[in-house]
Amino acid sequence: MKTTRKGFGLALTFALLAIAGCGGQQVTYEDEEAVETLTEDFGSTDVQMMAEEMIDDMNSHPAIQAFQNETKEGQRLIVLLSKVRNKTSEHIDMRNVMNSIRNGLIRSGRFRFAADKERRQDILDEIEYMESGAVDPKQAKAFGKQVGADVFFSGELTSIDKKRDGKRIIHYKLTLMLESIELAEIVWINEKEIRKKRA
Amino acid sequence: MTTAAGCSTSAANVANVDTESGQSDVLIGDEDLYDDLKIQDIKTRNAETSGFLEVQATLVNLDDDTIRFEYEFEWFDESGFELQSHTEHWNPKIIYGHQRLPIKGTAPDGRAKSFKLAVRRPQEVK
Repeated sequence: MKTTRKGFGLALTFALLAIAGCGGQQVTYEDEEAVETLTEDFGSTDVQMMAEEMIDDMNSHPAIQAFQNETKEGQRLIVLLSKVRNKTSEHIDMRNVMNSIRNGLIRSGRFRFAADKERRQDILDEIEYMESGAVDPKQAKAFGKQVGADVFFSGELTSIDKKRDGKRIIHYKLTLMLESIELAEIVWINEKEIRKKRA
Repeated sequence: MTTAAGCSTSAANVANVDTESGQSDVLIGDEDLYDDLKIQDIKTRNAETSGFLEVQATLVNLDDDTIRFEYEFEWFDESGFELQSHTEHWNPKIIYGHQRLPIKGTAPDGRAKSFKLAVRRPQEVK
């Protein structure tokens, strides 16, 4: 009986040590600009690489400039973020990818973005409230002054995933496009590909 | 307006180039890397459409072997203050033996007047 109790006591000690060990895992802050290769799945470096290339191309592509000159006398395009599809087998927050690209485009000063469709009702509610008489009329915003988008900004992420003998090669492709709402014409399109390998 | 600039080499691992307002640098950060990688040419211009500063630095692999490296651009305004760019990151890249590889970067906005391009051995977060 004593031996059993002793054995139980030892097992309990090991279990507690194991739990304490888990709790004591070292956590460090890492450079968010560094290349991340913890797994071969879609990661933060892939988002940064895709966003950078798309932002650079959209900021300087002559096709966008030509469309701007022809349809808006050189004025900046007003863009509406539209459908973004994740056609890979992974769970990827495509909104996050597109937000990174939109941030860069707005901050470059080359594009204007209309508010997201999901925000429109909130904006209308606020204008309605402002027109209720509760807000100083000089500061109240009126209906009929919202921007009208020139182009849809949409895209999709696809992947080809191959595995053999524990090795894996995964090829991601992000395709983005700008489509004229009035002309139903694709104004600009670009692809960014990334290939990763797990040896 | 499009402009171009040549480069001068001030040390084995640094090439300098004069841009519109201020001096820009291309820096190979690891000692063992600049024995094999050479900065051959640096071109700068203001993009025709946006006017943003564009840079193209050509690296040459002097070795027979493939080299994996990372590079990162930083951009500065005319006072030398670094411009914030949320997509700034180290780019992983491969250069094959004796290959010439142009690396291109575009400033995040029109305020950029100079840049720093750093090249280093891979330092991945694993």
